[in-house]
Amino acid sequence: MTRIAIVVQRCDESVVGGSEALAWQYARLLSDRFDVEVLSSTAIDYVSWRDELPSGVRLRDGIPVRRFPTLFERGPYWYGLHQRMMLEVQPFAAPRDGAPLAWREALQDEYVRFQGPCCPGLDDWLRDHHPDYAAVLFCTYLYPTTYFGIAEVPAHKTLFVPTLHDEPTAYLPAFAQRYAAHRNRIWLTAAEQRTAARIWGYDEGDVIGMAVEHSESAMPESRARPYLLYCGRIEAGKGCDELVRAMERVADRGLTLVLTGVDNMGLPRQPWIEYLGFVDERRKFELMAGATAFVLPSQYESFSIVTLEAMAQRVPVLVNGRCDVMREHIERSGAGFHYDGLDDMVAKIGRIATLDSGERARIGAAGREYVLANYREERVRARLVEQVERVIGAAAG
Amino acid sequence: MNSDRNDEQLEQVRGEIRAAAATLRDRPRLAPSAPAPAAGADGIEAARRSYRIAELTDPPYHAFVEHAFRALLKRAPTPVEASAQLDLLGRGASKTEVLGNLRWSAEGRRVGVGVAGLLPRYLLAKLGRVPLLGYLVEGAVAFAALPLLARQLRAADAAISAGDSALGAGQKALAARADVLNQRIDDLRGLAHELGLARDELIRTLNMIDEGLRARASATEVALDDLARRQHDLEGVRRDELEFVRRRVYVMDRWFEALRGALDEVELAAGRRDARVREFEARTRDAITAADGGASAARLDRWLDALQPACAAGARVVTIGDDDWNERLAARGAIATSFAGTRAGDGPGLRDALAHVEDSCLGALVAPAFPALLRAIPADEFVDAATRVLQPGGLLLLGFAHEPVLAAALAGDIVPAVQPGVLATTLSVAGYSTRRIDAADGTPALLAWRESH
Amino acid sequence: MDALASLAEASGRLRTQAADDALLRRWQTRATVWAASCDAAGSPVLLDAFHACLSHCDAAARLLVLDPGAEAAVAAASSRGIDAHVECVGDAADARKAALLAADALVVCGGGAAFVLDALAVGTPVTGVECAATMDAAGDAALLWRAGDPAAELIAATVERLRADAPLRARLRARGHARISRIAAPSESPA
Repeated sequence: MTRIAIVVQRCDESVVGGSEALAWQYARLLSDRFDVEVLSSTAIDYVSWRDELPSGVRLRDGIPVRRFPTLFERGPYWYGLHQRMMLEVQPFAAPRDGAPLAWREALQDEYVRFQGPCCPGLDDWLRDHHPDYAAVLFCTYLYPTTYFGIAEVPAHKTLFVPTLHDEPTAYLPAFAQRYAAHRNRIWLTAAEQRTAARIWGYDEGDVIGMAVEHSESAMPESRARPYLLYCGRIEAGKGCDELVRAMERVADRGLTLVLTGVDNMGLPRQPWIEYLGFVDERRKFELMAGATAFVLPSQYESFSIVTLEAMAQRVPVLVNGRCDVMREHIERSGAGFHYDGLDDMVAKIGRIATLDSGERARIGAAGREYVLANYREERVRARLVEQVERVIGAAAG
Repeated sequence: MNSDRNDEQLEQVRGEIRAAAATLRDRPRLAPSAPAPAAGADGIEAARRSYRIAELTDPPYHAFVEHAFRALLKRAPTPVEASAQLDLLGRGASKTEVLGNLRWSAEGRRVGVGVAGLLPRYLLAKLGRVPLLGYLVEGAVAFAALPLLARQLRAADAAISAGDSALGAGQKALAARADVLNQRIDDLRGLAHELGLARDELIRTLNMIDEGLRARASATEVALDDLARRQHDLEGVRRDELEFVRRRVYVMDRWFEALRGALDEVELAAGRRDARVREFEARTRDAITAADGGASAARLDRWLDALQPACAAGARVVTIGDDDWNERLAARGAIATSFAGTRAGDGPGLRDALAHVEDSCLGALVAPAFPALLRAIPADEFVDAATRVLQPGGLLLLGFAHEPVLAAALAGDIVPAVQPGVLATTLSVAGYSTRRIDAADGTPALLAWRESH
Repeated sequence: MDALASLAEASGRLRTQAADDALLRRWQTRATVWAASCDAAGSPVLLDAFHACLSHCDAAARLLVLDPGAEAAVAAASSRGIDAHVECVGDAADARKAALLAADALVVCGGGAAFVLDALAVGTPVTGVECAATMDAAGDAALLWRAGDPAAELIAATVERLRADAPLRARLRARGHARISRIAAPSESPA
C-alpha cells in the first residue's frame, strides 16, 4: 500500500482535543486504503507540552504512531510574548499608516516555537524522510509540528488541514506567509474557508469536515429537573464563564446546568450547577439525548464535533453566534439557536426552555438529518481518500 | 530550475536596490529624532575663489575642518574625511598643514581656490616632516618667531586669566545655584518627612481595614461552617429519606419475589395434577378395554368395514383419540394418523392439529369416542373442520365408545351426554347424510358423508 | 565536525534558548532596527550606512552592535553625533538573541561567521559587505555587496527594501533555514 504520514501535535488514547481527534479519525479512515503513519510529539498536556510519552514508534489500534520528544516546556517567557501578541497583533491593533509590525518574522517564529510542542526531531525526520511518504497531511495551523514541519516537505506533497478560527494568533502574518504555498487544503466548514480568505488572504481547498462516528440514538437520561448540557474543557476561554453568568440570571426557571469534562476554570458551587467530571461516551450520548438543549458558548471553534453529536441525538443546540463556524451549522441545519452576547444568551435560554414538544421534535429532527446528510463516516472517508489520491497523483505526475 | 529562478529574482532585487541606493541621496532627509551631527555655520560660497589664511584658520577644531572643506573643496566633508582631519590635528599637525593637504589634494587642485600666503607656510610645514632637517628648520623658525611666540604666550596668559575670571564667576553662579538646590533638597526632605507621616497614617488605616476584613473573613468562615453544617444535616435528612425509600423498594422487591415463587408453585401443582389425571384416565381406559373380552376389537372391525370405501390404499385417515385403530387402518393400506388430546385442557392442541391439516385431503376422519372429544372442541367447530379437511366423498365416523367416556368420568371430568340421534340431526344441518353402524356389542356409531355436487 | 558545523550547531541551540525579554521589549519597535557586526575596518562603513539610514530612511532607527568590543564603534558614532541611536548588545547569548529577534536585518561589515549563523538560525535576514568568513557562513542566504560598491547607501537601501518586501524576506529566511540545516549535523531522531 502507498505510505502516507499524518502530522499532529499530540496522539494518544488519553488525549482529549478537537484537532487531535480529527487527525486520528482521518488516520483511521485512510488506513483502509493507505499505509498510514502518524507523526507526533511525546506530549499529552496541551498547556505545558511536557515530554511524557516514550519516543519512538508504538502501534495504536494497528496504526503506527512515531513520537518525537518535546525539547522544553512552555514557560513565563512564552506567556510574556503571548501577552504582548494579544495586544499588538489583533486586527484592531494593526498600524494604520502601513508601517510594519514590531513583530518581525523571526520573533513570530519564536512565539510559535516556544508555544510548544517544540520537536526539532520531527522537523529533522521530515526533512530526511519525506521521500518515503507519498503525501504528508498536516493537522492544525497553530503548532510548531505543522508550522516548522511543513517547511521541510515539498508543497505539492502536503495536504494541510488548518482547523483555523478567528483568534488573535491567526493574525500573525508568518502563518499566512508560511502556508501560502501549501495549496492542497482541507477546510472543515465553509465558514472556516471564509475566515481564511479574510485573515490569510487565500482560501483554495475543499470543505470536507469530520465524520460523526456516533449517530445511533441513545436512551435519554431521565433527571428530576430539565437541564442544559455542556461537554468539553471547562474554561473561560471556551466561554464557560459567560455560560455560568447567563445561567445565574435564569436560575429561577428551574433549569440545571450539567457540565462534563475537565474543570480548568473552577466552577462555582451553586445548586443549579451539576459537574459530572469525565463521563464515558455512552453516558455522554444519554445526557445529550435527555437534555433540554446542548450549549456551546465558545467563540473559537473550527468544527465542534461534540455539537454535531448532540444534534445527532435530536437535542436543540445553543451556540455562540460570534463563532462563524457554529453559526453556519445552525443556519444550515435549523437545529437550534445562536446568540450574540450575554443578554441574548439569557433570552435564547428562556426561549429554549419554553419550546413545546412539537417544536423541540422538529428542531431535533432537523439537526439529526443535517448530521446524517453531511457528516456520515462513509461520506467523509470517500472525499478524504479522493483528496489524498489527488495529491499523490499530482506529486507522482 | 527553481533555484535558478530564485537566483534570477534575487539578481533583479539587487538591481532594484542599487537603483534605490543611487536615488537615496536625492531623497528629502528625514529629521533625525536624536541630535544630528554638528554642521558648519557657513554656507558654501561656490563663486568665491580666494581666501585669506586667517579666515580659514580662525574657527576652532570641528568648525575649522567643516569650513576648510566648504571653502577649498566647495562641499561638506564626509564623516570619515572629517574624522581623518581631526585625527591629524589631534596628532599635532598645524591648521596650515591641514589646509595645504586639502588645497593640494587632487580634488583641491581641480577646484583651484587661492589662499594668499598658504603655499610657503604649507611647504614649511611639510619640510618640518623631513627627518633631522625638519627638526632644524622647525627650530630655526621657532627661534625667528620667538618675539611672536612671547606675544602669543602673553595673549594666551591673558586669555587664560580671563578664562579663570569667567570660570570664577561661573563657579560663584554654580555655588549660588547649589545653594538654591540645597534649599530645594531641604524642602524635599521636609516633604519626604510629611509623606512618611502620611504613609504611616495610611499604613495604620490599612491595618485597620485589614483587621476589619480579617474579622469579616472570620465571620464569613463561621457562617460558611454553619452553612456547611446545615448542608451536612440536610444531606443527612436526605440520606435518611433515601434510605427509607430504598428499604421500601427492597421490601416490595422481596414481596414480588415471593409472589412469583407462589405462582410458580401453583403452576407446578396444576401440572402435576394434570399428569396424574392423564395417567389415571389412560390406566382406567386400558382396564375397561381389557375387561370387555374382545368386544371393542369386534367393534372396530365393524367400523372398519363401514369405512372401507374411503380407505383405499394411499388414502389418508385421521383418528382422534385411539392408537389401535391406526394399526388396523394401516393393515388395510391407508395412511393413518392419530390426534391425541381430547381432554378439556387440551383444546388448543386438537384445534391446532386440525387447523394444520390441508383442505380436502382426508379420505376419512374418525372419532371412536365422540362425546369425549367434545371436552376439547364444540361439535359445530369440529363439524366445520371436518367439512374442510374431508375430500369429496370422504367419510366421517363418529362412534360412542364408552371406555374413554367412562375413564374421563372416573377421573372427574364432566363429559357431555350426547345421543346419536341428536348428533345425526346436527350433521344433517351441516349437509351430511348419516347412517347408523352400531357395533355388535351395541356401541352406537354414525357414518356421515356429504353428497358430492 | 568542522568549525563551521560546530558554530551552526551552536546557532541551532540558540534557536531553542529564550531571549532576554526585557531587552526584547526595549528593542522591539516599529522603527527600523539594525543588528550589526563589524571589525575595525568595517566600522566606518557600518556607521556610514547607518548614518545614511538615519538621514534618508528612518530618523528613529536603532543600531544594535553585537560585537563584544563594540565600544569603539559607539565612540565613533559619538563623534558623528548619532550615538543616541547606537547601543552595545553585550556578550550574553540571550541579549544577542533579543537583538536578532527585534532587528529588521543583521548588517555585517567584516567580523566572524558566528553572528551570521545565529541570524540564519533564528530567521533574521542578513545583509552587509562581502568577506570570506561571512560568505562561507551565509552562502546564498544573504544579500551581500562587494567591498568596492558604494556600500553605505546600498546597505541602507537593502535594509529599507527588506522592511518593505515580505516575499524577499521569506525567500531569504527559507534559504537561511536550508543553509543552517545543511551545515549543522542532523539531530537524533527516534527512528
